[in-house]
Amino acid sequence: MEVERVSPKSSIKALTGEEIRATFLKFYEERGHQIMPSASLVPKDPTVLLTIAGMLPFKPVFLGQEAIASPRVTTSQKCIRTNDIENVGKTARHHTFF
Amino acid sequence: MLGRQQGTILFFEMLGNFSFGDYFKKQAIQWAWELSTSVFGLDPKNLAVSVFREDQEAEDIWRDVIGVDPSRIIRMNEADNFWSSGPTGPCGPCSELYYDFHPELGNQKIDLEDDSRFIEFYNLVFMQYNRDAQGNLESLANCNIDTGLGLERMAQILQGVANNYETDLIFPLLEKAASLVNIDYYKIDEKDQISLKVIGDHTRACVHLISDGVIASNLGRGYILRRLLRRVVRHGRLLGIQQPFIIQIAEVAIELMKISYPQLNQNREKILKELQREELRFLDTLERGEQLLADLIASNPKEISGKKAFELYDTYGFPVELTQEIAVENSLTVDLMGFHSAMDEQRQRAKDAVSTIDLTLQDAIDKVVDELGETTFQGYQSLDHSSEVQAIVVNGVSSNKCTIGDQVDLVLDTTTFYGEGGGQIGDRGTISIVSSDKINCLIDIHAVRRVKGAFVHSGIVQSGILQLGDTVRISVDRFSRRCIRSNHTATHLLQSALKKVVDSNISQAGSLVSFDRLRFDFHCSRPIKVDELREVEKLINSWISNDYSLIVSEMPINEAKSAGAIAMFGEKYEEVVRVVTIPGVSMELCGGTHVANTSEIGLFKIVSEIGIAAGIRRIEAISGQGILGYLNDCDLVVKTLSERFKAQSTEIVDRVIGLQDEVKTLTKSLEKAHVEVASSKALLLLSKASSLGETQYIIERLDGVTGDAMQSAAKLLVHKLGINSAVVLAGIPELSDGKKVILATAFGSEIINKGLHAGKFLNPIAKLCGGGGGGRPNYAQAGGRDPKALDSALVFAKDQLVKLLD
Repeated sequence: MEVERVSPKSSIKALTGEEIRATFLKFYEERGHQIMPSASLVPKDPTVLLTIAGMLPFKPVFLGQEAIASPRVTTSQKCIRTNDIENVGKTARHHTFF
Repeated sequence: MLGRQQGTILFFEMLGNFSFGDYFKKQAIQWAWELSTSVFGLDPKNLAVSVFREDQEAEDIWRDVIGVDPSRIIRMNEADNFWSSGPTGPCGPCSELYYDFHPELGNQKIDLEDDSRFIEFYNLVFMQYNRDAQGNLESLANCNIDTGLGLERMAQILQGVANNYETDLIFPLLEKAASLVNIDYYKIDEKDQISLKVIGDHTRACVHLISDGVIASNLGRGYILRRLLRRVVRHGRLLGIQQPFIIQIAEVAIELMKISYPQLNQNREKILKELQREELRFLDTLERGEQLLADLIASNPKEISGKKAFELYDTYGFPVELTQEIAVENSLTVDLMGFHSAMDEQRQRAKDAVSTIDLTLQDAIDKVVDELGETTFQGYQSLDHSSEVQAIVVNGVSSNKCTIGDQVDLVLDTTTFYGEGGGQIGDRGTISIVSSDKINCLIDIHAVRRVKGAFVHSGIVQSGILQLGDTVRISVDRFSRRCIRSNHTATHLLQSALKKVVDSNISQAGSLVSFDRLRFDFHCSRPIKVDELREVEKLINSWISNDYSLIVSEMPINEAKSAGAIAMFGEKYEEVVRVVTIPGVSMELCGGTHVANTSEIGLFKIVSEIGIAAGIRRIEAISGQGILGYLNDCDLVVKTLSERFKAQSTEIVDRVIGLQDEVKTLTKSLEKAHVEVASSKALLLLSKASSLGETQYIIERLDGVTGDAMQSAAKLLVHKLGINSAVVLAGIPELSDGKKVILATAFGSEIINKGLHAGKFLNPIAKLCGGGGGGRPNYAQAGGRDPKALDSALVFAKDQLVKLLD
């Protein structure tokens, strides 16, 4: 049986996708984060085929191999994960964070 | 949190906030909560959080600092809430925020994995440990924060829709696809909805992949692009879309995302061209697949093997359901078990390729650098120098020596080579051993990078042998250093000029100083106008000719900042900083190499100005001798055009405008001619009109005209025959490869009054010709791919018409 999985519309702000992105970035910019553009889907990192998470472009920074201009950064990163290609569209959402 | 039968969008946007050794757990949790509740307005009673079962600290923060009901803080095990990059390396616990669609079910039996109730939307990773080879966790000196909030999921929650696809980020793509076959997403069955979702998701992915330089192929990323694109075509066909259609969906995707991703707009043509090329190629492959299947069936097999079914699926894009359908029509079965095991093997291969980010790779050079420490840089004062070889890494392996042909990384005790940093790329030059004027060993250095303060010189050994401890002569290439100095000082001038001419609030977002050009990214909410760019150029060139001598000094950071030096926002600086001053023009904290006097730059020229992200612009420019190459390129274009047009350079623009107008006029008259030809051909058909009671009809072939012309012809004939008439025309169009069929139907108003609908009438006829189409009650057109079926389709059309009018 399909259970209703829709949030109550009245209680929360119906923001557009664009607005959600802008709101998130602005929230963290106001808290000292530098906004950086989305990196390419083709990563510099040779160990992965595609950019699969927001942290990937910063991997060398986390490893201490590269310095970064700002210790606080915020991004909207485009990602592709192809390990579940046959299930696209089949249920309500994906669930592949980390 | 992978698992179970969960659906997927392959392409998504992850919003993240990151801390590199700055704030940590408490701050990250507080902000995540504030953003979710106060900013996005989620009701705390709809939220639940997970923590790693041993992360007492996180649980305490959620309960005591934030005030989350303890029964809504769920402890999870390693598999769910401990993030590691690999067997060794940085790792740490994570904590996730979930949205609860049914808080009325209470706090007693909370199962966060129940995805009919909960959706995870924000993951906070606390990178606080390093795991060593023995598996021990040791605390990191610098704790990091890495987070991810799924944009599409947040949109789903805030917009109150049932899934990612119905958000305004994706739904317009589904609607566009649905409109091509006149269906309504909300009124079709789940199978067709899935097809629309696949089309929407994959088209977004394809558009971005191509924009980022991926080309369809059978390898790696190219193969992923190809598979995605073929799935789009296949699902389009499942919905009944017979014609090429992807670029129509792609146009919608580009429109939706072009503000956040301006490069989509810049690459529009490239994207559409690649999509179209690959789609047509695949349609061709599908036809060959159909042939292969027909041949297979003709050979009278007992069943269609799993291997064959998978080959049809994988190579020819045949859904197994279609193979099955055709098999059943021919009294055959398909080995589904064999098909699925072939599919599983393939899926495993795909999974192996993509699923983890390995943070554990530490190559030889990193180990060497850990032992050696920092290199002394002496390249501000001189270009040539004598130094000692401290480390040699050949093809990634630490070594005592290197010899001719080797690809090497070298670390020296001191160097004059600038190591890539602060936006400036590394120097080029040579490292050699010279004794009594004879070169015993020569290494060409093409890149120099800094690894934890050590300068790593990468190059190829041209002659001789180099050993550890050798004393070498290092020489930075003078010409390339001169170009770099010129471009770097020009970058400082550019920043100052932008502040003066455009907006004093402009700040740097990124920079690249290379030998042949410079690139400067900056925060600015609007494009820079052409006359502003001219003004910027003019100002910079006036500063250049003013012969300003640069002053480079070192001073405490506070002193530098109070003197007004520009620092990169948020960047960490040492206590004592290097300040590069162009008196009266610019003062910046900078470690790069610069000209001694602005006159050395000679000339400055902006080449382009574009947007690269929301609120970030990019200027590319050239300076000094680098301008010559640019001028030559421009000159070549102008000269080539002049020769082609046999015109002076000043006349070229007018000539092009003239030509465009001419093409427009010619195209119009050609179209008119097409219609006239079709009309006269059509009028000849008038004599073939038949009667059925009061009704007159023409059902005839009309070859060699365009689609538009056939449309006009059908309308013309109905006009001539009167309101109680019906016309069906079909034929092989002009300028085609003979494989296409076009059809058109027009009904007079009396026919429509009798309950006939041109669109519905034409569709089954087009299907007989291997196509489909639709239209309005009075007029419809369609296409197909089977000219051989044309005549029998027209016979069918006549039978149908007679039946319906009877």
